[in-house]
Amino acid sequence: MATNDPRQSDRDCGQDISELLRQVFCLEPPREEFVASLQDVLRAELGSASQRQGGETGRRDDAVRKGDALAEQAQREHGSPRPGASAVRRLEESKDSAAVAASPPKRRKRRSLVAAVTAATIVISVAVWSSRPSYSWTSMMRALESEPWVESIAEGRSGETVRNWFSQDRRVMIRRSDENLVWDDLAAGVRSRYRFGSDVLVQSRLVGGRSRTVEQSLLSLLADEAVRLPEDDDEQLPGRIEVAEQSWRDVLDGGERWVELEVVLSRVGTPEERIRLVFRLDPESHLPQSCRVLDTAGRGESVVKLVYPGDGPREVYELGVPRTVVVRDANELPDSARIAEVPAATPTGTPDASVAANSLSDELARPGVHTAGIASREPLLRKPVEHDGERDAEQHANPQSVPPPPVIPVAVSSAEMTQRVDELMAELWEHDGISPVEGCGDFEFLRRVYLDLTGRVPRVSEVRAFIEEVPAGRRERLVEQLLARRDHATHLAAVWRRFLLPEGVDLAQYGGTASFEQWLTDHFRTNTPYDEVVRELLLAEGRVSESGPILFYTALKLAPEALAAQTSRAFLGMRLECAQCHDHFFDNRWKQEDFWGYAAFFARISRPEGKMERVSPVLRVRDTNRGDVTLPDQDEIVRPRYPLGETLAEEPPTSSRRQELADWMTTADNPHFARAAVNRVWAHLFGRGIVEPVDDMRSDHPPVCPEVLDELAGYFVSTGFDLRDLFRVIVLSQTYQRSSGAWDGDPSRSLQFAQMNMKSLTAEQLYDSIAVATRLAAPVLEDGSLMRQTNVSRQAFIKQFQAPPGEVTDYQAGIPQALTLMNGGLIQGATGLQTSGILRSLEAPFFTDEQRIETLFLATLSRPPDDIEAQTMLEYVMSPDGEPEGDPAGDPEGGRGERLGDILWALLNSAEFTLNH
Amino acid sequence: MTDVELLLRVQRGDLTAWELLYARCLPTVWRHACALAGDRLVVEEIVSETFLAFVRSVPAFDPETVHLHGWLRGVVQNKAADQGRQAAKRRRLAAAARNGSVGSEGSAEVSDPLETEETRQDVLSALDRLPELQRLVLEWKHADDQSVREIAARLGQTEKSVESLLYRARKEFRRLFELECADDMRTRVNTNVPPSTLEKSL
Repeated sequence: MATNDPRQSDRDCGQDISELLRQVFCLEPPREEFVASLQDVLRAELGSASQRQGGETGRRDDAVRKGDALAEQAQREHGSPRPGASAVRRLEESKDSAAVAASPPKRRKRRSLVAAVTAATIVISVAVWSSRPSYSWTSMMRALESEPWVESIAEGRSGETVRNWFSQDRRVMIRRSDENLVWDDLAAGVRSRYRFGSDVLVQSRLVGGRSRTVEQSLLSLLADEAVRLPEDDDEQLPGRIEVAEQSWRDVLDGGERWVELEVVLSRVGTPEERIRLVFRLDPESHLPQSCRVLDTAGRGESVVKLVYPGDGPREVYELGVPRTVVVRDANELPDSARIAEVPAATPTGTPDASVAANSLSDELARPGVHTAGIASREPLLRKPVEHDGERDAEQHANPQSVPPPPVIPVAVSSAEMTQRVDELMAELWEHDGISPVEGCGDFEFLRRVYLDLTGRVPRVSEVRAFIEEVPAGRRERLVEQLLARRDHATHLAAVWRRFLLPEGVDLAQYGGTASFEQWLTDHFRTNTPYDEVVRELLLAEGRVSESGPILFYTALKLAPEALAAQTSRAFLGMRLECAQCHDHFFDNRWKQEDFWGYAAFFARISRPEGKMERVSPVLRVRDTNRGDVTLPDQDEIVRPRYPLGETLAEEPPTSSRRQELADWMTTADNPHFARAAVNRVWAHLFGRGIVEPVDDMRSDHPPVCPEVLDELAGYFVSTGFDLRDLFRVIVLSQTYQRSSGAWDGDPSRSLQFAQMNMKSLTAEQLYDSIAVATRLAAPVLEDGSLMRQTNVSRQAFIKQFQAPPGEVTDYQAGIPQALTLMNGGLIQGATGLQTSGILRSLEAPFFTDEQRIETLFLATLSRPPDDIEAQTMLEYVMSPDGEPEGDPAGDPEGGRGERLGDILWALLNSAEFTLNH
Repeated sequence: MTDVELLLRVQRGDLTAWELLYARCLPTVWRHACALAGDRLVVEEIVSETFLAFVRSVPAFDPETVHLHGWLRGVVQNKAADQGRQAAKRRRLAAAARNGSVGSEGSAEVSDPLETEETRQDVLSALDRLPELQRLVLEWKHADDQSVREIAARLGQTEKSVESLLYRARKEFRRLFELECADDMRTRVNTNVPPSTLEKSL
């Protein structure tokens, strides 16, 4: 649907949707006989219902007259007969035309009515007796979950009216009493609290918000006062509840039928704590109309009324919060639990040290005293930048626009940091009720760490060497070895090159990517601190043809806006470019001036007059003292401005704009740089970042575990941005070493890193793994590292399989890739009897067939075959009569060789080989 | 006259209003019952029970607190559950495998019943996630072939606002449907790899 005309796009979309809906919905109309008989039944039922209501003859006459007008409207609306209209006519025509024709008019009408009632009786009987409905907590929850909005109205503990809203689609839970408003954004994990009459709205992190189940949210809404105990942390969920007993019965109340569903809930872990709820359900929809809470340990009975509006509140201001309120971060407020004497944060309050925090509402009621958020949580609001009054006001009104707090260096050892990561993740899993999978076995770890650190699978000799080592400490030793290898440096260079250089740009004219990767490799090889690598990149100078780090600039055509976009994504985790043409649609931190203010740092670089493609290769790129940017189609120059920071009022006297930017970017005080780097490394190892997407870190994308992100960033800073150590810490953690397999497909585990994500191999990893597994004649260095950057066939292969950066968990499995794997030159060579190094080596006569099969498994899957696999493969290798065919010693074309080649082919094309698990 | 206005008239005993409302709602109820059950007889039972329930609930029905069409869909779902949704699904797949697409005579052969079922579920899930109004206009327009004017009359809105609503509905449906399809792809990849075997010492 590639078109620039939005109306055409919409038309195309409409046609697609019509087709989809036709596929899904049965569009064959119901039988006219069915429609007619059903209508008769319904009319009779309606007639009875009207009579029960006391007869309305006069109003019916009125209705008949108005009905005539409606009938006309029906005809206009529906044109050709619709089921309803045709059924009316059919009824008048009558079913038994012969008998009816012979009867006088009165008898005709009576007979058709008798026939209709008989049919109706049959329909009713079938309908009633064919299936008896049942009611349960589950069916009620299912009905609630299908409602776009659920609203409850109840009386609170102190007699005020309390209204709750829950929307599953928008993932919000709202509680409004006469005194307070609590708005939980479950998707963002943010709680906003406001006390009516105050001028402050407090925001804090909502612990476990993202993992809160729909059932928990609905339970809060149904019986909030009942299920939450006074000692429950206001930040926390009401605790895990389970159904202990339930029963239902029909109730006739004033001529109306209801269902009464009684449910006893108990708290997980303390089953003696029980709550009894009685729901009044609509018998047809199973939706509760009200809920009565009984037996709540002396807290009395309460009744909640429930309604189901089609829509609900969209923002706090619709519920009585003035737009002039100041939004504050809970962490900025002193912790009431640990204060001795803490001055009030507002000028009007008086300090009060003797505070016992019970609930937020109590706290907010005390003048001058403020509650704290969770002490260890990352604050959601940022301190305003003080030197720009207008910006202060704007940032107070717009909490997203304040930068995150500086990273606090964490001076611990590598082993302590590893342990700390595991502790924090374990706390997260426990809180969210996630059971992590078991740790991975040695074979699984071996393959995974080789692929993640060196970009290839281990050789058979490397597998055997690892397994034969003394188990104690062998994983640690292996990691040290791999980090020191050249393979690790070249692999990281490829990874970094993918997100630094833009895709789809012909870089051959600038010397290609080889020397750029070489430059990166050299730095990773010597473990240059990461901040220095980035500084060198940002300040790169040289001739266009020199490649190396200058390729970063030439690939982006030296354009300030392109450099701004790429550097902010790569090093700050920000997508500023969305504000290039207009204020950012989704991230209201970024105005157009912010983007161009950042781009202004790249304005003073020498650049050609014409197109970059035609520029002389000897053009030298360096800083100049001329060049500015303006907003598109405007004349006013935009001064350089740091993202979420100050504006550079004057040109620096002794340095360049790029120098200033590089200094700011890589300082330990920059809260974005360290976090973005940690997040990228984490994403590389786990398949997804702590924040996703890795280049769009904003409040709408909260971190899975902010404490891990913050502490790892602090550690990274304290080590002087030691990238190798960062890898070491993460790879040696138990979190990284969780298995990727589980018997129940619970996606929340892998989202929270309680189970390793499966990652598809990158194109580079795939090629190198095939080459290593099959012993292709590829050059290697003395430590076994591959010579990657000069391999032409490798480059051609990579081009076919390249996935977009940042999407390594998306399997690139289109037809071309599949065909390449199945029949391409690489595979043919790798599995051919004459060309495959591994198959030729397996011809040696001292191997048994079992050993040959095991070797193929070790080479490709880095593990031995299990019993079933071994048996199956062995049977395949042997001929049907039980003897191997051919002479393995003298006839390379013998049957065994071919079959081993088949096995090798199958293993290379298996999902297990092409996935990093 | 909008559906809600018709309902209020029905509550006052206007049978003609009922017939118009019935004519309007029957396609929706029939369609959703078909989506949940494959067998025609089962579908007819579900539709009958749903409308019976509707008629019995009419006196107490408060359109201010409960969405009419959402309520009807919910009842259809419950009736389908009572009828045994799984059995109907098996019959649907079996019928599809026998090259008879259930409930739609003369339609094209289903070459991959599982893939069709997956698409079906994706469409239904995407529809479920749409805001109520967007869902209604989308179904009325694309499944019932109602005109913008008819839809506007039912909703009590101008034709222009219905067109805008349709535009947003299509866009949102497309986005949700693509998300559902992407989830299916990830699920397929994640479940393709066999669980790791126990290591053996050499």
